[in-house]
Amino acid sequence: MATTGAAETGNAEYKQPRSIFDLTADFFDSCRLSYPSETQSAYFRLGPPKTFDPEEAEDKSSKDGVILDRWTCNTCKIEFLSLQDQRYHFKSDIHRLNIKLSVAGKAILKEEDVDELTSESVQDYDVSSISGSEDEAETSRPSFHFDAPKGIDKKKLFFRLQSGDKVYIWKSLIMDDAETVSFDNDRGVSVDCSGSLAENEVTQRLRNLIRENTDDRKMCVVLLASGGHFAGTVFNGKSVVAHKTFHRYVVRAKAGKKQSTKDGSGRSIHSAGASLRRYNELALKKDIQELLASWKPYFDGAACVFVHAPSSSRQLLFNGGKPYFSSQNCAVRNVPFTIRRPTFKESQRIYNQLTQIAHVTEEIFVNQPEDTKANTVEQTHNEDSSETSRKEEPDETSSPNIILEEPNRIEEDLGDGVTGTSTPLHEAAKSGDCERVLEFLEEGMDPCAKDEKGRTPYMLANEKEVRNTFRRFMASNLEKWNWHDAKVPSPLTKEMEESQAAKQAEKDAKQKARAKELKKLRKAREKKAQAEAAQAEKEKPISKVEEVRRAMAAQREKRAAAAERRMASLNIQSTSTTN
Amino acid sequence: MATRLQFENNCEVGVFSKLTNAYCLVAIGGSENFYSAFESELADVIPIVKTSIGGTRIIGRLCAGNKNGLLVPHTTTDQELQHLRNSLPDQVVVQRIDERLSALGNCIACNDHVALAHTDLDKETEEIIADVLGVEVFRQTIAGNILVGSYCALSNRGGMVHPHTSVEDLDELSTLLQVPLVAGTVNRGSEVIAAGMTVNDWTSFCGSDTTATELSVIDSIFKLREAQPSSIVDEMRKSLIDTYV
Repeated sequence: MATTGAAETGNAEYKQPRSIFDLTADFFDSCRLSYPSETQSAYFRLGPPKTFDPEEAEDKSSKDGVILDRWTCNTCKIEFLSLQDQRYHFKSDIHRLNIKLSVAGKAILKEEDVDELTSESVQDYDVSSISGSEDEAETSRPSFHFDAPKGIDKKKLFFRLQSGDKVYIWKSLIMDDAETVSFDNDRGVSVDCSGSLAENEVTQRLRNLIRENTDDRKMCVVLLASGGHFAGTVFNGKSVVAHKTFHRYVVRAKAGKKQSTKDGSGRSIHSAGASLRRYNELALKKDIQELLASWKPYFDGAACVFVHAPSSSRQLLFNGGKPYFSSQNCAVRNVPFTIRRPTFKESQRIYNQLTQIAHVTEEIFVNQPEDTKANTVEQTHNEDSSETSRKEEPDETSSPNIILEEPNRIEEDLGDGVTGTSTPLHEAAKSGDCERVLEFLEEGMDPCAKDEKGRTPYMLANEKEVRNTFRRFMASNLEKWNWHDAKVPSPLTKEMEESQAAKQAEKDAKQKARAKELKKLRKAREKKAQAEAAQAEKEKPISKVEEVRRAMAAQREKRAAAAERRMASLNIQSTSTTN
Repeated sequence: MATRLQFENNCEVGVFSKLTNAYCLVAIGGSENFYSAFESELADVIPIVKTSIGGTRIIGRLCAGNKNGLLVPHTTTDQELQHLRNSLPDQVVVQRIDERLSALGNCIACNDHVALAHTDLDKETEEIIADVLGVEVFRQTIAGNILVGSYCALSNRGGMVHPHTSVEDLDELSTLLQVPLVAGTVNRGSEVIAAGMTVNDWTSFCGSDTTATELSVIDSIFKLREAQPSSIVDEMRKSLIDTYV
């Protein structure tokens, strides 16, 4: 164990992703471009991180003096090469996240996972404090590396080096978005598209890139703009030449949509906040354009400009198709992966990612014994030799089989360990695919297998139908597996299902009847209420106010009548006197 | 040497006082005994300031500081802040922090060069800590506790942490902080180290429940027996007076 551990760490050091600026000039000599799908078979993305070996550390600590040089992080299980590295790590966000996860009793994240992880939950981590969003972070962690999205692979270039190692770089580092690579050399089919590059051209570009390292190197600009944030950074090699960030209030929170879309439609919003937003939109554009104008010398000296400006942010940097910065000498390319909020730190991260060269390891598990490792290597070599024939046949079943075999073997290796590895059955159960679950079970896959967190496939099944699939299978194969270990509670037979269905139907019918009755009752009650209301209207007792008013009206009438009478008598008198 | 004392019959002296290399804060209490214990030990060397923070006496748990600065929580009143600024030496920066977690003393453990901070503190707070106290800030837990300030007492010469800290963690932390650390207790087995004691580079005050064994551990890890500015000053004064007479 100790010897393999040492070998592993040595290996890991050399397999860690490196910046292209650290490479020697002959790194890419006689390398071969490999077809992306060739690497699709099964591999973990990167070399293993330096795993922390307690024995080794103990030896070290016993040798040293009072202050022990223990350059480790026990929380993240990492070992460092120097105190600087260690201190840097202890200030990093990943360490903070891991502490929070470990305090909450959850599994820690590895650095590579986080690099890959570009979900919403980690977007704001470098801006302000993290508050209780670990759950999403954890669920969105990719558990299966070998179904990495093909879209990502299209954006990478894979190489097989002279030493036999496979490495990849981001395609946009040396090629424009429109350019493609033609893999005609080993397939005998020549694709003569206008934008396609032959393999030797690509490798030539790579070599040029490395040569540039030594003497006058060209600059590279990263421009990020989204949601009112702007970050621009000029890099030269590994150093930052200039950088600037802006932030303006242009996104009104909870406004539902971008409000600027309404401005054009004539029905613009006239609130104070909206006018602030409008002002800031203009100001941001002006700020950025002034900056881009002042950075003209940088753009003139730059080899390429990496831009990330999604949707409407694009108009901050581009006027139609034409960019606001001078781009005669440089290529404008998009950042090929997801980015977080534009900050200086983020642009540095992006640049480091873009300019790094990462190893693709072909062995699947870190602790695999030496002989099996040799086996897998041999196997992949065989595949290499037979790949042309295999590719032309529409024989798709072979590759899933490889995937299926792998976890089974690991299962045997681990024996009855508490932590296992997730199998395709886990994936199927999780995704709620009943048919695949049944298929896997019938193929004889172990439902007791546990994943990294010790969960069986049944525990991962979110949908009732999937759980029922397990239970049905249990009913038909009661003896085949230890179903108690698989955490499947009880079998589900045909009779049970029928009786259940009958029960359900009965229940439904009852409910329906009750609903009907209730409706009837309600209707009757409503009718009654209406009738009562009408009745009440009729026999409404005269209120006191009304009474008084009526009495007053009657009196007034009487008074008026009396007055009339008086007038009449007066008239009579006057006529009699005049007569 | 470490001194044993009480605050109004309470042994948690770290709660009611804050000792650094440049100043000492003590809570306003009913009795003068607590204050005079500090006075007798420190009076000639560093200023001792009687204060409250946010109207409370638990000042040791609410503020964090070293010789460069003092951080007080947002609950601190303007009068208190003014009083502190007036009483402390000019080179000590007093800063009030707008941070959700107001018990800064529980969340931050620091000496004059490094600080351990609670994982939930804001980025801005972390920057303020680094600027005002002039320290490197690390996020870490002590024996699984995120309240690093409570479970750890640090000086430039040594540090004492929660008794349940594992040996690996102890080594890692002492490498990170570059001070020797030891796991121990105060106040007859209390694991809340910082509440039970307060320490600077040459002296320490512990709760009166602290046993002789605990005291000897404290003396040895914080190297209190070797260098005592107060004693050196005393010696010097004696010799000066000798020559005077």
